[in-house]
Amino acid sequence: MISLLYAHPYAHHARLERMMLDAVQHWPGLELRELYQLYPDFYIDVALEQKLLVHSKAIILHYPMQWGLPPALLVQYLHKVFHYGWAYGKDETEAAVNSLQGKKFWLVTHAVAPHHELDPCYQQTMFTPLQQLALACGMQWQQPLMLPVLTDTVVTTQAAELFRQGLELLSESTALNRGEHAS
Amino acid sequence: MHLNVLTYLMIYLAAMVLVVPLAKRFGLGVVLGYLLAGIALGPAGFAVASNTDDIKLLAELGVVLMLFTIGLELDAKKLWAMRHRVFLFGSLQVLVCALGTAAATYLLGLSYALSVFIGLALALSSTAVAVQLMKDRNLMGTHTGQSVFGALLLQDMVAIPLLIGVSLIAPSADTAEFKALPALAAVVAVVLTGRYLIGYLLHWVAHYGSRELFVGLALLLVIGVMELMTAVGVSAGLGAFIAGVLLASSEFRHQLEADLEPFKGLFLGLFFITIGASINMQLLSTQWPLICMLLLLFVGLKLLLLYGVAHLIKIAAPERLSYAILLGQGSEFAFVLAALATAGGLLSPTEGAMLNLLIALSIALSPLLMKLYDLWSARQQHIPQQNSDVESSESPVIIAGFGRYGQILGRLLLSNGIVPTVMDHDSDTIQTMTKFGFKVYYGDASRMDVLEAAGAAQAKVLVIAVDDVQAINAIVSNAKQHFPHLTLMARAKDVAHMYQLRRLGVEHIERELFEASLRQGRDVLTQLGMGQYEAKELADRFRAANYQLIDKMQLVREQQDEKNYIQLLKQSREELQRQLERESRDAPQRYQGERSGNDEQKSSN
Repeated sequence: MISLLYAHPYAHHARLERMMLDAVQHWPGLELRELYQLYPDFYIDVALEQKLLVHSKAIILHYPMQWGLPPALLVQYLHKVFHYGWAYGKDETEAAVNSLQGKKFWLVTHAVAPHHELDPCYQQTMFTPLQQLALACGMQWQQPLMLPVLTDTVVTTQAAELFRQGLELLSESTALNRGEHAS
Repeated sequence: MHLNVLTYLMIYLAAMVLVVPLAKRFGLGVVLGYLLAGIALGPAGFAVASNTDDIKLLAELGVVLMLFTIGLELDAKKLWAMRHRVFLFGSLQVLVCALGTAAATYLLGLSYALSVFIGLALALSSTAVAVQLMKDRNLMGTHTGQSVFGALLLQDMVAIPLLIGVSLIAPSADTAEFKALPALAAVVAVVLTGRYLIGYLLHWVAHYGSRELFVGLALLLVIGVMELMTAVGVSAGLGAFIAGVLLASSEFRHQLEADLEPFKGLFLGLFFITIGASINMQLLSTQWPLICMLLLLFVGLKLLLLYGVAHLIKIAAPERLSYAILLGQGSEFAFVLAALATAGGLLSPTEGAMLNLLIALSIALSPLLMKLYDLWSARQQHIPQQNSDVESSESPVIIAGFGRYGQILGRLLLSNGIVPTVMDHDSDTIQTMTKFGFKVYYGDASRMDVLEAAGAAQAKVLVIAVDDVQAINAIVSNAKQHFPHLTLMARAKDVAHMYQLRRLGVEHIERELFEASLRQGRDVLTQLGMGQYEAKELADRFRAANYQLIDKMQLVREQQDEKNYIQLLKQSREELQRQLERESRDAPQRYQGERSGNDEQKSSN
């Protein structure tokens, strides 16, 4: 199973993004969870989410980016679900925990504001906190996908194609990994 | 044949149990059912209803109990707010009807004094019938209902001078004497005891007595007032009403109401049966053309006059007819008046019997007319819908019930450009709400035709925001049956009601007080020094745990395992407490723990 966590506060108005998601969401084994639909009150069912993540081979975060930051609910999600004593650190018996060990962690995003003016230097560093998170949890960091700004259906189809290529890569290497484990 | 009271009671109860459900089955309503049972018992039927003064007394107790319970629902403040309806509108109604009827009887060739007497006697309406009809249709709280009730109250007051007047003009042996001073003293005594003494007595009995003693006290109270008032010649109903109003702010109000409810229902049934039994079928069969004509004249005239009054007191146009029908019958007082007048020689025995028959028939006609009115108004609501169907796009949301609950919901929608269709049966609410741009329909949402008129076939969502459990359930089952495409959103009184609604297939249920108390509970937590967000999270957690518990309970409940149910309730209460304690203790630490965890990472990186 691949968990695709989609965080967009006004997803109903993001028509083109919807189109792109529709194009990829039937990918075999992919499970799309729209965080703003599931937890509009910012109260996250931590136990359920953790169970689902444990069963996933890969975790994809898909979100529009503003000032290089993810939407507030996604940050809340990362704070609540990926917490100390479950995702990293030690449990009550002082044993190290690694519930997410070896899972692939992939970001798919596009800049909403400001559009293109982000300093290239900053573009290099803005994923650092999430990369640190992946590292601390023992997950495999995948090269983030920066989608183009969706302006029309042509761009959207292109974006969906990019998304699909990324998924292909992710699934292949997952299968490869499994093969490695088997051998 | 001499039968004792118990045997009579048995016969009456048997008639009730047999005939009333049948009448209801054929859509005739409860009141009509009782009247039919009465006719069956009367001289024309099995002729067992002769010589039944004791039963009549019990029947009168039914009316008195009814007025007492109405009084319980109206505290002094509400009554004061009704003063215009009682004194202004009520007197107007009595005056107009008395003058109109008197003029008509004078034209029919009766003497001047007799015309005035008959006019006044027939201007009164039957409290029992009108109130029962209103309760059946849930009209008591509406503008029209209040006006009708105000008029009925004033009539009860007018009846006193009327009774005195008759006994002065035509003195007879069985005149109940009205003594002004004792009457005043009695009313003052009722007010004082009701205000100061009864409260203590109720407390005392509730504390030291058993459950049935409380019922006994409630009955004692009402019968005591009734006896006292009858002794001094004041309407017993009026006295009981005053006693009820005085107890309306007592904390035992609901207990009293609940305890007296079955007695009230049964005795009121007896009352209707005695009216049915008093219909003189023999006289009717020999003189039916004359009586039918008089009945038509009387009821027609009274409806016409009442319609005019309704216009004068500014009752909304669609409800004027219902006002007229509710008040458009003879009164139980008129029986007493007719009897007194006959005894005093004011009326000849045939005239008296005729008047009696006329009143009884008009009472029997009332529920029938109301039934016809229901059908007619349903048709009326149907027609404009058909006309406007094409041109106006129907609203996707219907809100049934526009009290405080429905209004907040509706305003949220309206402020976001969605104009909901609103249904309510209070004309006051409707008038104000139409001003603010809501599409408001007058009507009872539990009826299929009314829902259809409001556009249920085109709507997506039906919000049921009525505050009565029975009404909510009725609307739900009706909508489920006739408009399966509608998404139903219902307001639930409590958890038990929530289960009922779930069983009826409603998916979106909100307990009416749950969110508000949870919100305020959150504020209490913050007042005690907890952070705003932390308190929110705890409230959220409580909500989630509560819903989980409700689901679990439903399973147990469906298995009808009461012992388990209570145990589970206890268990989960403890569990919740433990959970909350743990959380409030750990929350700050855990956050620090997380931070220190991060720190560790940083240093390790």
